[in-house]
Amino acid sequence: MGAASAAPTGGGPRRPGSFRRRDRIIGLLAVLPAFLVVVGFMAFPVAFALYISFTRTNGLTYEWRWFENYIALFNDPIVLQVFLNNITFLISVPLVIFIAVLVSVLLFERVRGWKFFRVIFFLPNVLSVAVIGLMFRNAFGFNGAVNQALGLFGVEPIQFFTNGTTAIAIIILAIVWSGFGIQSLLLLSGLTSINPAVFEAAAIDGAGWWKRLWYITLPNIRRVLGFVFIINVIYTFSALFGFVFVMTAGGPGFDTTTIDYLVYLRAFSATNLGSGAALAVLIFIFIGVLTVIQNRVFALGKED
Amino acid sequence: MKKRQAGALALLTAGVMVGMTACAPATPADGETRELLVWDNGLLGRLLENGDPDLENSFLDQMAVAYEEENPGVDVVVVQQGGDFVTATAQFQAAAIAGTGPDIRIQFAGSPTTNFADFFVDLEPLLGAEVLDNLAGVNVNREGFDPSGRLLGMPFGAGNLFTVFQNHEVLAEAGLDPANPPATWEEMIANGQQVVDNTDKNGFWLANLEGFVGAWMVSALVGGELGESAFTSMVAGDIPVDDPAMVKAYETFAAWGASGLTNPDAGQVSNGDSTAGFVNGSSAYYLVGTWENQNMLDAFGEDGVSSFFIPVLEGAAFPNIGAGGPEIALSITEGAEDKELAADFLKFLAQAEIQDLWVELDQRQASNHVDGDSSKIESPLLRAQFEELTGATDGVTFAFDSLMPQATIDLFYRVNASVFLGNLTPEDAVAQLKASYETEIANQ
Repeated sequence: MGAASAAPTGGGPRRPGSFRRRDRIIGLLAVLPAFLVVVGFMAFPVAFALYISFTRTNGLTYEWRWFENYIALFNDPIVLQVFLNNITFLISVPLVIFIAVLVSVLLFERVRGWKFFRVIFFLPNVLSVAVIGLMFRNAFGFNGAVNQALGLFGVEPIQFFTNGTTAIAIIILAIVWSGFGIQSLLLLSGLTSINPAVFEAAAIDGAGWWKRLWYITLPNIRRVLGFVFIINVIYTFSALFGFVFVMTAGGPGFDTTTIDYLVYLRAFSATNLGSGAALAVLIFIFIGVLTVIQNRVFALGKED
Repeated sequence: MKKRQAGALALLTAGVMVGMTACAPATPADGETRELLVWDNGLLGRLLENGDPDLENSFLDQMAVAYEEENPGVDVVVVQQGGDFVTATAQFQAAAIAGTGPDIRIQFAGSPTTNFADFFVDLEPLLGAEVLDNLAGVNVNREGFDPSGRLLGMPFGAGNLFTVFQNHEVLAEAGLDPANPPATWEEMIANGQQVVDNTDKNGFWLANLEGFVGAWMVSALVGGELGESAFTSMVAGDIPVDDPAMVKAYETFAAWGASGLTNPDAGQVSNGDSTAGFVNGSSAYYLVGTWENQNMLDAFGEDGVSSFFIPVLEGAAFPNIGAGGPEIALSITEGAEDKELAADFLKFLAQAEIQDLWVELDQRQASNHVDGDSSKIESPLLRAQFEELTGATDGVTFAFDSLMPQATIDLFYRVNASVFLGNLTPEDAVAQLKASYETEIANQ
């Protein structure tokens, strides 16, 4: 009230200093809620996780251990095994992107029934990970639909979840199935931003479907493609918990355990939050480095 | 301008204060209801299929109502956690750290209780000798298993034993007499082979996705080799975790997994789906624990099923032994707002006649109260198991996963699952357990 009402009226010159100060305060107040949210819900938890990664704690008592948790993790063969599991899960990234590109191009070209398929492909995204996990666990269970179907052809039932390789394959299948729809739509949004005249010109010049895809479509959606690639890689290292928890509980042994699941096991099941936090910090750094590399590879910062 | 800044700050401060006040727990005034929140994971309570409390069969819910009637103004809220107990433990820890945990938690006795020493209060001063002196098995819930340690959980019930249930119909079909149960592990395997050879049934039913079956079997077999104090000595460091008896037990377990005598999906059936698989009648033997007594009787009737303790290996030094021990512990959490009320509820449950009600209702185990009424045991299975226990002159082995540090227990289950499937050698499994135990003990 004060500054605004005390300002001269009738078109007189404003005092620049008071104007700037008032704007600054309004600006600060405007960003304050967001600032509090960022500090309270992002910066503080991250800083606290970093702090407890240097301690041995069950959440109630804290004992400073310097780098002991980190050293123990580097010497732990289970951490290496689990990390390699995550690397295996990276197979899902090109798979899901390949299918998403294919679907988005078909939707972009408005194949027959494209509106229907657009809805169908999006449907897995309204299902929770738990539901999708249960669906796949039941379908590929010993007495599940897949084994029943195989039985019709005289194939003996397969124990998909007692072998790490097949169990990971089924989880990857679930990830691809649940993820390609939304990513198709993301890519579709990139496709719709391409100037149609480019396609028309290419068609006039006699470029076929594959040439248009390779020389026009894909280069023009490079940024979206890069974004989708990066979020998929991040997802593979930080968000498979739900699938693993529901489908295999990380087993048999640690054969399908992922890093995020191991963070949970260390932090809560083994009541060692410090070790879990140290693992989370390491994976945070690893994902950060990986993202920077991908950013360079896809040249996301470069102008077209 | 300064006034405006001050005004904005005052407004912000007031907003924060109002928000914090709104979030703060209310202090009950006189005459208000005192609430007691109890978390269970199927140990004393039951749920219906739709998730509502099974008031007809759930001891805990019945006792909550009875206690409320005795104590007007008290509201006992029972929450069934669901999921396996590893998950339930993680939920509890997370909630306790966040300050949203229960006042009373019911969990497995032994290390699943003592591993959370920081989360539970010492019950000794709250319950007093007049209650505790009447209960058996108190020391398994003491910090460090030290008789003078803090008492972290009140034992409830006489405990469970790991057993093998036998389906009479399948055994008869295979030409075996259920009245003559196998005396050794090898005999039982031979019987299983006979079942497979003579019928279209499996010798054994088991659900080992989580590795729990391995936990019961390894505990029983090692007990047979090293005696009832095998794992208490192991946790104290007097017997190494990689003792040859452990390797031998795991070799037997691996051979069982590779034998082809079990249900073919044994490695991927979860514990939660376990009983449903056996009661469909496709297998002769079911390796589990006495907690399944009632389910077995419901499925097969008194004449259709019987049980025997998990047999030990031929030539074992301690052949007349059982495995298992105190199962249930009730703890008061550090976060409990009204610890006196929580203690009063535990005292209520600890009464001999209340435990008798539980025995009568559940028929799963006997009372651990000195004045418990053994006539309340009506289940023929439970009676037979108690008779068998009197013949167990070598005692009862308290299981590996009732004594070890939590991280070692978690690893134990996982290596069990892997060894059974042949994905891990017995030697590697035991070496991993030893390394985990040493790390955890060093950290304590």
